[in-house]
Amino acid sequence: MNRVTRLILVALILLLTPALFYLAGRSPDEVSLLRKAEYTVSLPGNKVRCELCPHFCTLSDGQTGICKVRRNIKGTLYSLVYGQPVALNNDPVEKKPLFHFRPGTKTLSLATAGCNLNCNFCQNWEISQATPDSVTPYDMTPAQVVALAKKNGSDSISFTYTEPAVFFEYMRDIAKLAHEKRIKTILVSCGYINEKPLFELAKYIDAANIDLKGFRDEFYRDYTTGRLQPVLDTLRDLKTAGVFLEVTNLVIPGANDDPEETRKLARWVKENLGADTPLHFSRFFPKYKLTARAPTPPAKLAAARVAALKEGLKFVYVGNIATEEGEDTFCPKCKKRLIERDGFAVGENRLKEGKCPFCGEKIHGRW
Amino acid sequence: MAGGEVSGKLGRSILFPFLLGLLTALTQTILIRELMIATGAFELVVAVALSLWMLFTGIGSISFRFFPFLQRGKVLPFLLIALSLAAVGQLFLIAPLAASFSPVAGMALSIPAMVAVAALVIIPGCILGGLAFPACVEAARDRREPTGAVYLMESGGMAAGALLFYLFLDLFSPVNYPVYRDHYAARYFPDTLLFSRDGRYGRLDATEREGQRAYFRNGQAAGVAGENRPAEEFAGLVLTQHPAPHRIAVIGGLLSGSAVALAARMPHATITVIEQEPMLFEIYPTDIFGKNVILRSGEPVAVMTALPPQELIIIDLPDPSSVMLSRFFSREFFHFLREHNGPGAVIVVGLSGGRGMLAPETAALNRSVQKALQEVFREVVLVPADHHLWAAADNDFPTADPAVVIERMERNRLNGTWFNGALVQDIFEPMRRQLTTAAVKRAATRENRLLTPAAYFETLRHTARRLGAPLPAVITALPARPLFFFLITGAFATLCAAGIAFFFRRRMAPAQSGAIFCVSGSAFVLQLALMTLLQVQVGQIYHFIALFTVSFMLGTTAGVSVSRMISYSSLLPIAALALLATALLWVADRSLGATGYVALDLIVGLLGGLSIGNLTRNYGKERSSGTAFYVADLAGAALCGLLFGAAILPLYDLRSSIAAAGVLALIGMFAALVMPRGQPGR
Ligand code: SF4
Ligand SMILES: [Zn+2]
Repeated sequence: MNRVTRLILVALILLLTPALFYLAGRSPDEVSLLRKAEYTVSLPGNKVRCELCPHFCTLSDGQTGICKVRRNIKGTLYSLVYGQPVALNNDPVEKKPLFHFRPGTKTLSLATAGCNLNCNFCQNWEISQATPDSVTPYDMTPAQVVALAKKNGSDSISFTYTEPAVFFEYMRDIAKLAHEKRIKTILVSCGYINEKPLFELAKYIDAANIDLKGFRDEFYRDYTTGRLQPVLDTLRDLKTAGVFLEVTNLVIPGANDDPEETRKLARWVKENLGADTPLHFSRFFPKYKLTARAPTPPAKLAAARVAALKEGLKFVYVGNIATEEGEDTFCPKCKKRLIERDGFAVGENRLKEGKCPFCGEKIHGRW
Repeated sequence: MAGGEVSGKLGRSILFPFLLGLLTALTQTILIRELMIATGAFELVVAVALSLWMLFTGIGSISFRFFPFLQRGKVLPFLLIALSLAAVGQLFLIAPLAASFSPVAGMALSIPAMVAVAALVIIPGCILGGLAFPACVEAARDRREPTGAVYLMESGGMAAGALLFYLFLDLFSPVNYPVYRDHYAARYFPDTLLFSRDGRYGRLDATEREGQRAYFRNGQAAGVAGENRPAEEFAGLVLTQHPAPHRIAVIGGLLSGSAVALAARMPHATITVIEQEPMLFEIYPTDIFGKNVILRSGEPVAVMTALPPQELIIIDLPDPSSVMLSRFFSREFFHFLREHNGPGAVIVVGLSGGRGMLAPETAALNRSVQKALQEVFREVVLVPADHHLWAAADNDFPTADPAVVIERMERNRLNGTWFNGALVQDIFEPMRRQLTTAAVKRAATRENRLLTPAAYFETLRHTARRLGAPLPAVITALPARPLFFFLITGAFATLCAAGIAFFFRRRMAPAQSGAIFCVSGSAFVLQLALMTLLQVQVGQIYHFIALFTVSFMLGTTAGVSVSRMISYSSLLPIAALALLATALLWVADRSLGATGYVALDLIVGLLGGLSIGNLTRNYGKERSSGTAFYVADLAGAALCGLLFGAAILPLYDLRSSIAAAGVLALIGMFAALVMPRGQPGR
């Protein structure tokens, strides 16, 4: 064998090795029912722009959006997760958290894979940061989801855990059907969605808990792939659309826990959504990529609650931590305890037709 | 004068390679530990870093001939000084480099970023070290067989370096020096670093902010002192898996807070807290425990053996991200627990779960442990909480019936603000239970065993995905096709050996370089296998890891020395290496004790030294053969170590790694026999 032959042989084997490895690992193509995505604009050259969320991904043939679940296939955008939930639970509504919306009821909660914000502290990263083909979904049509809620005696259906905006079509169809069957619907979202789809969706949504993750645009840019303004817009739009609203802020040490930022956030909520909008400060636990940061100190959460109350908000809670009164509802007027909560347990609920039994003050909520 | 000059030269030719080895061993040990912490204690990074180490050292060595001035013996001291300076400087490179890949303090890097940081950090030292080896050979040119002599002294230096580290851990722990500690503290922004301690099993850091003290193990959050919802939930659920436990043992659980939560709920039970790392009890405020809590540090099997039978045994450890941890989730360990504690005991194992939100990797991890439990115990029950709990027993105590759980909770007064009836109802909600159980059952994986650490592999998969680089289907499908993997990797190794032989054919006879590649690979893989055996059979590893390098290097040194005194055929020690691997296959499932493994490691080093020393004979005087030999040796260790040591083990099992070492030795014999043996360059 001369040198050239030897070299060719070596090159061939080196090239063949990865090819063989590839063949060994290939799994059979999965046939899945794709659903055409809505809110898209076709562009020249088989490109598509998705206008569902403020990322406005422009995708060439074969490309998938930032959310990992919307793909351009030959010039048409498809949702890869329609009818493919990966998590399905019958949760207490307090877990969303919603404290002023039908307390003590169960809500059928579901999520598909995918998220458009990709927070590096994600508390549900295993499914939210997954591609649809890396998880094993349950196959469920909207009708099946609604039937399951009925069968389980769920009072409502929640779109939660990951980011429901990215499974917009599936969520909207379920919500529409749920309303037909007199089941309530709940949106738990980061609020990263465009106005048009949001208003369409809002027609079928009763209550929402929106994560206002911070009040500085730099925070959103450093810790997520989003921006602050679109989230604020969503909050205002939901209010306009008449959806019952609660707001959650996950307090992350060193990221969004500056007292001034907390005060600004609370002030904005009061001025734009109303002083009676419930606000939840939630304790951060190190997860996903932020594993070298300590959990939120309890003192920090307590201080945030005090600051928000001082700003004039009437209902401020702390979550993910056991406290004496941080989860209880007090009458903003006579300061008496109205609803006791311990974790997911709703203790005594003293409300009478949505009013304080002691002073008659009407308490904001859907009771 | 002439005589003095000669002896000075000889002295240098011995001293320099010794110092080179010493510096290399120390730098490597210290740097790899720091890198591991900076990259989230991801074990694959260690394997990658070690391989990169060898790669860059090889590159340094090859580039030796492009620096003619280095070939003068006088520069050697400067090279070594530069190397020691680089070693210190490299430490300070880690944090800024990591920061340049992420805008956020304390955030895990992506896997490509980790590899890039590891590579950039080690490059300076590696290149200098790589240059130094042929420079040492050059300086020793007047000696008989300079390459062998330098190799001998370098190995001796490495042994000494490893021993120094082992003996004076505090001295070589960079966080003990304020300059470095202040620099290091920035990773815990916005907390203040209270203290940082290196122990046998890694590093423990404690931080403080607004009255909250948090603990970090190897740079990863491990728990907070005081109020702790997850710990309350964990303790409450665990305790309801037994109607009324009086003797409770918990393995781990100190930092996570579950030991405290258990003690608070069970003031009348005797609770033994077992931690492997003795340092934990020194830094943890253990005075918060009452008299009913017994603290024991040591190897859990040994500690448990000395205890009377326990009624409730809790395993509260991090997910099995190493073979050593995987051991406590293995069929063999469960078997030990059952034998020792009798049929009345309940075992509860905590694992990553996620309240009905299972990724396939988490499901598979749970499945591998469930299978191991089912092989040993009659009853195995899943509690699908935030942290999945697996309760197993040979009695009917474990339960997934919320009514029974609530009844036990109330009877034993376990309920609090967080752990209460509503939480129990939520955790055991029928739909969640049914879907989670189905998802776990569907996961395709093997049961977790000592020598087949499936749980370790699934944890690796899980971590890889967390870091945004899911292992490709190619890799995850391999366990189903072992033969294919062996054929391909075997062919690959053979090809690399041939490639090295071909590349250096003008400087070394192909039979020599090819065989050196294989022998070095075989010996290194055997060393890795022995280390792993020590971990799974005996449990103590950090304690012994330095000793392993020492014994291996001592063996190598001895082997090379002998090879210079007597003459024999190279085939003999290589064949002995193959035989040793075969023998090890037979005894893999029996514990040989720590001394046994260290002794075997010494023998592996000895056989490697005997083979390599002999293989380098007669070629030592050839210029640049230092480079050829060094590269063949490094490449063998790096490539084979990565393929057969680091990759095969989690994918298949330990026996496959050992078998691969045997096959490599056989290929080495084959190379020595059939490849051209003529003088190089002719
Ligand atoms: S929904 Fe997904 S594809 Fe559409 S713009 Fe947002 S991230 Fe891009
Ligand atoms: Zn009132």
